[in-house]
Amino acid sequence: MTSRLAIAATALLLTAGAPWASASETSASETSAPKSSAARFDTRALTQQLARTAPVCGDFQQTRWLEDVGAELESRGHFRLIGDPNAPAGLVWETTSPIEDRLEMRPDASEGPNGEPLPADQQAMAELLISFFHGDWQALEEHFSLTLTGTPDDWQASLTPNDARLAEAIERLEIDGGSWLEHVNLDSGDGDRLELALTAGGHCER
Amino acid sequence: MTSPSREPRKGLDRAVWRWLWAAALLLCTLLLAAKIVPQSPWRGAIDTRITAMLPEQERSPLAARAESLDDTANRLVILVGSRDASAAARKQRDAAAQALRQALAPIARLDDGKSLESLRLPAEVQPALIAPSLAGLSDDDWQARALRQLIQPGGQRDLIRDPFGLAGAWQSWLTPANLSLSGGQLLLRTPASAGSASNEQDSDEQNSEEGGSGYRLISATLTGSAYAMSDQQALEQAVNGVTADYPDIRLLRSGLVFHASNGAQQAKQEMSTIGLGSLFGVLLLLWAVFRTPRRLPLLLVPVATGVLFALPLTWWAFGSLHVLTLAFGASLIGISIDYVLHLECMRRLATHGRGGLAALWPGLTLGLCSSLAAYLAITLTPMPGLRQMGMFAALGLIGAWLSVRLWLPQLPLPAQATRVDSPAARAAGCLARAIPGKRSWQALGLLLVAALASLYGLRSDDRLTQLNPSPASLINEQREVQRLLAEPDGLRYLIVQAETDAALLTRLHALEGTFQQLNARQQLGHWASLAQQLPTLEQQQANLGAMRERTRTLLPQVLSTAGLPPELVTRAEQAIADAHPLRPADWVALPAGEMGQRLWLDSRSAAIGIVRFGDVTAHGSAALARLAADDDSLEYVDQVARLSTTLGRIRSEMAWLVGGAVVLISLLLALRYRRSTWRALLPPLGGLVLTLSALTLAGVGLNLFHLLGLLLVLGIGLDAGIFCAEHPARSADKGNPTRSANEKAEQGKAQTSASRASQASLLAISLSCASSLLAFGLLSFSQTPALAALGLACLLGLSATWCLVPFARS
Repeated sequence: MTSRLAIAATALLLTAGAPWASASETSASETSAPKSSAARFDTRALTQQLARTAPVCGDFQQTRWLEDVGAELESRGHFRLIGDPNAPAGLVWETTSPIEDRLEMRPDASEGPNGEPLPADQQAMAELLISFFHGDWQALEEHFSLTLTGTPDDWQASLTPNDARLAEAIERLEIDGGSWLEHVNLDSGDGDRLELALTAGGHCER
Repeated sequence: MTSPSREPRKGLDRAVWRWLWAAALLLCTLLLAAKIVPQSPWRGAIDTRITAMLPEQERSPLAARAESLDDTANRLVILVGSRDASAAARKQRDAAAQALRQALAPIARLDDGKSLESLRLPAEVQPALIAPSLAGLSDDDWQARALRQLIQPGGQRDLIRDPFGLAGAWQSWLTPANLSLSGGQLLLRTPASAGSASNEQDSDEQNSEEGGSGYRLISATLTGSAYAMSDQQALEQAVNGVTADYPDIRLLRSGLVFHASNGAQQAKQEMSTIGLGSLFGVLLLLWAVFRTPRRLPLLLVPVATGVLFALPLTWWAFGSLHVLTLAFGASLIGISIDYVLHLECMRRLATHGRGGLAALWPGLTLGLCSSLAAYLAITLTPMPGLRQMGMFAALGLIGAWLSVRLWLPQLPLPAQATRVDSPAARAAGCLARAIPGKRSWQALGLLLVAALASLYGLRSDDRLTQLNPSPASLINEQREVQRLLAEPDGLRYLIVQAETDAALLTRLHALEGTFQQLNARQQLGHWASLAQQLPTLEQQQANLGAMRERTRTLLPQVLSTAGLPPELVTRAEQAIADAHPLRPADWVALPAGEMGQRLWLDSRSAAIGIVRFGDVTAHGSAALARLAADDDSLEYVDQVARLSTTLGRIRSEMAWLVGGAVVLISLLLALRYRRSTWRALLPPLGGLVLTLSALTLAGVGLNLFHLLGLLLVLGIGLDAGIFCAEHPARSADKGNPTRSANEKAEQGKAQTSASRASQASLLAISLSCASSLLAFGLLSFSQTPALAALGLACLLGLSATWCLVPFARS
């Protein structure tokens, strides 16, 4: 009766970086204890800090390394959270160079420039980004082993997928920042890399 | 206290026959063991498919293959919905779905647990597959798309082999528009209208804020068996555990296992109410009459040996045994309790345990022969299921009769059982007092005439839906899931044949228009066809040509805008040079092509596709049948109609055969009873007529299961009639019983014993009717429609038969 469904289900999860793909077999991974830091700085604290200080908009610079062709690809633009910054309804990702492009990413359904839905893999990436900006680290910990180091003003987090299937797509994720998220580095299993550098636009800071 | 006579025995009373019968039963036990013991090389299967009951020629070979593809007994889909669209309710829903997935993980294989890489399409066929959503793009659009793919986070990464991001669009096209991934789980939005799936254009308005009221989708394959009680229970526990933890969620379940589990629970519950109730009633009745509790199990020995005799022989004769054969066949063998009751009553009341059973045997043998005639008539039908059932019942009756004839007379009776004032004797005397007067005869005559007249309005009803044992709520849930997912139910499909793959795909695409028209007229809800998964081969070739062209002309501009080395174009051109179309046979062999496997039949001589439908109205079905009727390359199969027709055919053939058998039996009886033949025929035939008339007047359409019940009534009625003819009431019975006691002294001993035999047979007939009423009549309260139909026929028929007995023996 539902083999079509089976495939639709799997096809949706067949994604470049579906961070949630392992949802079925997640066991909440133990939170890595913070390294020796006087003040207890953990994911909960980071979540709270980001919720307080994260900007509602800013600029991004993205560098993609395409392993297959041995070339680097740069683009830049703005981003803006949609709705309540503490519980954003989504993220607008507006590229200005080398082309103009606008993406509206939402947890349930993202849209391209003409309102068409995004392919599943892009949707998955969109959710991952929203999750970073929003700072919902506890949700992330269900799918990644998370190591958090540094201080509230200068922290680094390294995420390794718990699940082999997720690891097919994402080998390793590194993020760092201070009062807010500054860098995202994503290493894919096939050697591709995605680097995002985020700067707060002056008019956006709270 | 029976003293087996010392004189040498003759015929069947000789000991050698008893031992032979015991040896035969031992052999049967061994044969049965060979079928049941798991290690046995002859181990037999018990078939539960209703289709296995049907004759082979009812299905074309292609249809048989098409249906064998549809083996989805272990598939299940659960949709988890929230009470309302609020964020809190949605959070509950997601948590519940997550909990459910974890609860299901040990007992089922979740569909989204497959390896990711295995599901990608091979890169060399992707350029031939362009999603329809991309069909209208201009060159500028294609360039912009390629660039977007490069810069969007998570965009397509295979710049060489898929620079324009065809894979993502193709995948979106194959995915139902209302299905998406969010928060790590599948989200199914409720579509505004049920239309064809897999088309992405109309999804715009659904993507907006209203998405909250969607369902989380969990689809899985049960690792155990959908029919195994333990696996069903594990599933129920998993689901119930989650609903207990999250009382606010709404679950929609779909899958055979839920229906099977529900049916099993229902059967279990009814077994403990109806089953135990009737068993208790029968035992109470027999105890009240016979007052010898220790002998009660003996009464069941013939039935048990009958089953023991029939089961292995039928099993070996047919190879596999159908579960319905077991259920109904065993009920039919239950008639053999008649033989025991007659013997027991005769020994207790008429002969006082002192042998002299010679007067009993002719009636008993005739009873067996008449029932055998009725059941063997069924074995003449071309329906394997009925043949099996007829043979099973006939053998069982023979076995039971042999046990009664050979074994039971040898068992001693307790002393108090044969006393003249025993409860049995008193009950018999009481019953014998019911002698119909002239008025009653007139009333009976009128009633029978009226009943016969009313049969003019008799009609049949073979609709399958009538026999669906699942509760309406579960059926609705299943229907809703299928509607939301645009999943065909697999019951109606079209087989499309063509000479080549290319011609098949072209034909399937041409047919899409017809289906869309039916859909627009709301006669067809949704359908699945290879045309929704693969473009025609000409289209694929055209796509390939266009993509080669675009790679050559558009890609350089893209690369320069993105700041990538221009020599990549050469590599991309080399990659696409090797590309080729995707043929149906190759598509269904891919892991991603699993969705096409049910829609394609592998064949050397032709290309065969299957279009499966869901939500077809009667008009839609008729239109599809018309479409196929004019065309040799199309075959439309409506499994529901086919099953209904088959059930109807079984019903009418059975009716004719049983009718013929009744005529034959009447002739047989006429040979022995001459002018008293009416005595033998009144209870069974009168019972049948009155039952049919009652059903007609109540507006109930006759189905196969009513008829099976009537077969039982016929068997018991014939036994009753034959004993009425064998031992009619004498004038001595007609008066006051106290006077009859006085008269006994005066009249000859022979007449006294004849009168006692008559009373004994009346008691036996009454007990047989009453116990059968308890055993089968109570089934009319069953929730399972088939059993209820059988029970209703028995309830009416046996009551009528019993009421006719006093007339037949007077």
